[in-house]
Amino acid sequence: MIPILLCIATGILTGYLFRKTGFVKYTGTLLSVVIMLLLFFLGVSVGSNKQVISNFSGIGLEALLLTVGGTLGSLICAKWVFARFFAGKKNRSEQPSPVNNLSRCSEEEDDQKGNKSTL
Amino acid sequence: MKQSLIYLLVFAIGVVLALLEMMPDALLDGDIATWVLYALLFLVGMQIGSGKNLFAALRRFGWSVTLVPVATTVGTFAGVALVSLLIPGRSLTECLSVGAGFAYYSLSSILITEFRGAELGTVALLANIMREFSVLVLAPWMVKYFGKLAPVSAGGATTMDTTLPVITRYSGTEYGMIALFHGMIIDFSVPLWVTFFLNL
Repeated sequence: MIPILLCIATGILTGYLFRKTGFVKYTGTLLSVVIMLLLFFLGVSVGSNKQVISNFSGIGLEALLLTVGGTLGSLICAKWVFARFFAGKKNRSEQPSPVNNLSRCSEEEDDQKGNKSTL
Repeated sequence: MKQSLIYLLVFAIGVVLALLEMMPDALLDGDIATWVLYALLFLVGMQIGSGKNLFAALRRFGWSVTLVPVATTVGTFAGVALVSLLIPGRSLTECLSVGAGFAYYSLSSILITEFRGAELGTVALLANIMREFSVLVLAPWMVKYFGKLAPVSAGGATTMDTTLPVITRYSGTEYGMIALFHGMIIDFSVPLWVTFFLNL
């Protein structure tokens, strides 16, 4: 926990101090490379876990169902919170967004309100 | 999308190399992955620090930021509870304990293995890896159909480290601060929820 916060904090400070120099432009590219490295390690840890590999189909299906349920549930809640508390605020203060975007957001909001009341 | 496919390919290569036992033992050591993770966090910090929206998110969104981890928790538990009806061999609390990992696969699988054995522990490991992976691969799709908070909620506890870069990339830099805040709250809640559900 503490090393995680320290890494981010020193990164923020470094980025802030060097924000006007050219080399911060390459941060995005470097990030992609590092993500690939981490995904590779993730693959290695799955592949070298014998228990996971031998029962892969049964365990995998259960895991997949739970992932889909949990992720979809959180996505639906996030959509409601975004439409209700974030999208409108942003449209008002920052970027003038296209009309169809505004109407879509309010539609979503109505849909979600309807769902909530029936629940 | 091209980038997501490359990520998927890199992951698959890792699985195959480990299956063929072509990985040198030195690479299986967790230390290297930890240091790479630290490098990632540093870079993410740099991206946030060099951006113009450092504190814009919290100033603009205010207290509503606290609703994001609440949405993640409520949505996850509701979805997992529904799915548990489809899995005959598992109780509701077992399913909820897996869901309460919020993509924090290392911690949740270790805890669950200790309380309920390696099988449910392995389910937790896979389910939570899949959740993290789904954000890394599907983040653009999530933003398109569920709004800019979608990859944050889906990312669970990982939004302060591994999934933070895809969030800042597809939702915008100002959502990086929301993701950090959200990740810290969910991160702390994982061991509490997992042990809570396993003790019910």
